[in-house]
Amino acid sequence: MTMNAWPADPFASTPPKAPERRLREPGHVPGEIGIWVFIFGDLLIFALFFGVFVYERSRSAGLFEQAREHMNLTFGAGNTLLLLTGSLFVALGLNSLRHGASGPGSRMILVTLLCGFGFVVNKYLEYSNEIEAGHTPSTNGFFMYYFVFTGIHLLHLLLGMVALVIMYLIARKPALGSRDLRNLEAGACYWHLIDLLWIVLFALLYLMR
Amino acid sequence: MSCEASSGKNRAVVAWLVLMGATAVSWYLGDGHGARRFATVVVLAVAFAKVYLVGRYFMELGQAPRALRLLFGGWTVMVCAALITMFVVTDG
Repeated sequence: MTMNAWPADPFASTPPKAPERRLREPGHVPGEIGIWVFIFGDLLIFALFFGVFVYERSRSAGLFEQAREHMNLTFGAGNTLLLLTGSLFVALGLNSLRHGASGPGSRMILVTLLCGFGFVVNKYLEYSNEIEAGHTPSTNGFFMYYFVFTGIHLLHLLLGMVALVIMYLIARKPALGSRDLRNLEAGACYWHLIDLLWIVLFALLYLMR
Repeated sequence: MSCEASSGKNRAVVAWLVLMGATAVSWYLGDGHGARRFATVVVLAVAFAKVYLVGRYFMELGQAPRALRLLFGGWTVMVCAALITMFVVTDG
């Protein structure tokens, strides 16, 4: 005879539910497979962007280097630090939420959102400076790639900020189910993708000489 | 706080510290320090090492299924190798 954890209750209309599984186990897919299909699709497209940039740079190395010297490294590095810090807080927030700490978890998602706002403000100032200096997408190949790639990345980031707002609303729920946690993980993975793509863009556009 | 929560938090904080340090090294090299060709190769290698750390510790791929880890690791290594090779071969 086997021991049953839930004693039979002939009057109950539905059997009692087992507690939700919240903690990760080895082999756990962060988020769900759909978000990874999207992430790898994006990674392939950006791999193509990176390759095109390095190839074009090799064809006009002097011009690209001259244009790069106009770039303000502080803007690029500042944005890298903001995104890395945002990624840390969303990872810590998710960790807290998995362990039922909804207050700290949701506040950490807000900190990530603030980092995202900081990135947008920084990018606005940087674009303004470049345009004032007469650098537009039609100036030369370097600035064309700079505006197009960072513009596409900025669109990703704005979408990521919408995802963070949704994540915040989920995190504020009184009780989180396994579906909520999967959605939070998927949102966090998308935010980390934005961070990851910027790391390479920063190296190619600002640091490669 | 449980032991698992604490270790997850510590891993993320250590990864962030390493990522910040790596960013400082890249920033220094990209700002005109070191031999140009060497500096660019290091900057690209460090960038993809950072990408790997983000995947492993922030995206939590360290505990993900093997196929997912191999796909992500494969993308990181292949794109990094392709870009560095293109740079080294074409750099006059």
